[in-house]
Amino acid sequence: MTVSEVRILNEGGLHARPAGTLVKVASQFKANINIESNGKKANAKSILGVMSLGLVKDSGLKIVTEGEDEKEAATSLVALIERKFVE
Amino acid sequence: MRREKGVVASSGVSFGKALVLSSARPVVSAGLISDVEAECSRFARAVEDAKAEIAQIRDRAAAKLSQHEADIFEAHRMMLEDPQLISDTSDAIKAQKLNAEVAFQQITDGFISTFRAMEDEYFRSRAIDLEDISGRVLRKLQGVVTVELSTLTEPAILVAEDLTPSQVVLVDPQMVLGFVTEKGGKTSHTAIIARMLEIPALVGVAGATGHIKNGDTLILDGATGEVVVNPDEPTLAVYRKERERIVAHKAALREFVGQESVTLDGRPVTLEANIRTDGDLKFAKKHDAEGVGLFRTEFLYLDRGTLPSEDEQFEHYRTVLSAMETKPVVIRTADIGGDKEVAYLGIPKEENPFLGFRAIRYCLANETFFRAQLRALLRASHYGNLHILLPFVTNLNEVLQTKAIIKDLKEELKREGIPFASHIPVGIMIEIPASALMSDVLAPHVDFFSIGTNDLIQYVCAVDRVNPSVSYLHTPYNPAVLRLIAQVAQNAERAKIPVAMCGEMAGTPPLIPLLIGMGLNALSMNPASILAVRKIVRETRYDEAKRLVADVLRLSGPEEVRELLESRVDLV
Repeated sequence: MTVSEVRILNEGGLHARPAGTLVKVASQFKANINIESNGKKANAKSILGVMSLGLVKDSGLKIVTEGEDEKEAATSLVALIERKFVE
Repeated sequence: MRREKGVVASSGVSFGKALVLSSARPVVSAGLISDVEAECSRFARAVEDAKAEIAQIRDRAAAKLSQHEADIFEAHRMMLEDPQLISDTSDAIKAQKLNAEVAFQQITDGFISTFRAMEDEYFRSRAIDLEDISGRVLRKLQGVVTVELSTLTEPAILVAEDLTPSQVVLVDPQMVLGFVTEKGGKTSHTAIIARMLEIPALVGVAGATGHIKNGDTLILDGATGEVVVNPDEPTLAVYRKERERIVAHKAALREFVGQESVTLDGRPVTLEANIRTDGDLKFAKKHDAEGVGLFRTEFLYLDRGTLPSEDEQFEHYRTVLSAMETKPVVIRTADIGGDKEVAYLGIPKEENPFLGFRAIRYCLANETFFRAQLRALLRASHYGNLHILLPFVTNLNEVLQTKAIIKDLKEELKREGIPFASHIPVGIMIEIPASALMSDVLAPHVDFFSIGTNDLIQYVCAVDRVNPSVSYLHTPYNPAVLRLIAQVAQNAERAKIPVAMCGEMAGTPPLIPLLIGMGLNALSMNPASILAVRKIVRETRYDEAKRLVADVLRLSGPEEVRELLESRVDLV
């Protein structure tokens, strides 16, 4: 299990567009990926789950990955959030 | 035969079958099922069909609107691939033997109430997206056809409670004969777009979606503001004739394409187009606009979740500037706030938004936001003939502050080696009585004026133009408004700067001789009005028009003014 902590940097937070990008990236990995924030937990491969966390700018979150490619998954997702979802 | 009354948002006459759009979700009745497998595959098929439909809308949005809009529909499509939505529904079908409709509605309602309860405005309004998506799947399950405005196969008059700007933009003008809506005003986006597409439209038709049934024959009279439902044959015949006359008149106006807009005694008046996006340029070209007199940039900020980046703005401005080549393009900086709410900017709700924190006031208080737009504009100036227009100016200080920012940004670009035009005129909107009255003081500091009439009338007459009980007072024929405009034009002439007018008034035929006489140098309007106005310009003498101004400004009320002006031009 790999746990990474990261903060949302882009202005609008995890709106439909960035949430869609995040889900697309997460879905490329075999690992189970969960996002935890504010006591809530969501499957990172579910756009509705990710959006229902209501993450806005400066929200902190934990990415928990578990599976054979958990390290790569964590690195990719953290990088994506840090570069404000610019692909 | 029955008549319903509304407000004319776009003129013309049309008739055809009614297509009543209802946005309500279909009613779902509970039912237990026996064949679980069959129910699951019925559900899977409905989801696939709905996804295919959304993909089509996404592609059309990419072609007609922008990649940004397309991305939003892509997110909608992804929601229908969401494991939590799809497998949870299948699980509910299997475990509780629910029919697919009930199971799916249960699961989506859970998400909808989660979104509704959220603090952030943006996330709260995502409940609507989810309702839209779930409605689409439910309609598929029940075999109800979803009406897509962009894929109509038979021409129809659309009847709806209200239409969103993106719905109207997706409309195929070949298939839509007219709009009838219950809500919306003359200056709503539906109205503006309908005029641009030259589709007759009536708004404010109370109870239209209840009184009018799918398939009813309608006559839409854009002169009287009436919808005739199921007309008799003699009535239809009258309207057929009227439509022929209008079509012939429009065809006759085509002869003015390519002609100069000058008066009989040689005074030029530049006739320009108002646009909202680069997509509107095709209308400007079609009607032979001599430039873009008003590019309303706030549409770049609306209907989305995040701020457009400097680069995204730059691309948009550059597209418009290079398409217009050497012709002038007046780009107005963001006129947000007021009635144009942008959720993600977090502008607090106000008691009086029209008197509040909007346009240049917001921009100067949020310099990062303003600098990004101005920098994008300066960078784009290299590709065409850019004029920058500042909205909602109240005093000289706002002008000086903005000019200082522009100067600073120019130095920044120079240091970075980024090219921009050597001369970029900066003008202001005259739409607040204070700036109209101080126009002599403002004129030496700016390169041009542009009079925004919709707001100017609203503020001079203290009348909310969207409130139907007082909107009769919102008239360009009010002599108080005309005196103020004449004064602004005079002050511009003394300072030797050009004065333009944008807004509905600039495209209103009876007023054209008067505006010429006042000394307006440019008129910017809905592109569809340009050729009719050019005809009037070419039939007017400047010296006579000046005398007309003197006569009109002596009159005591709007009725007298209107009567005098309308007696002088042929009305269509």
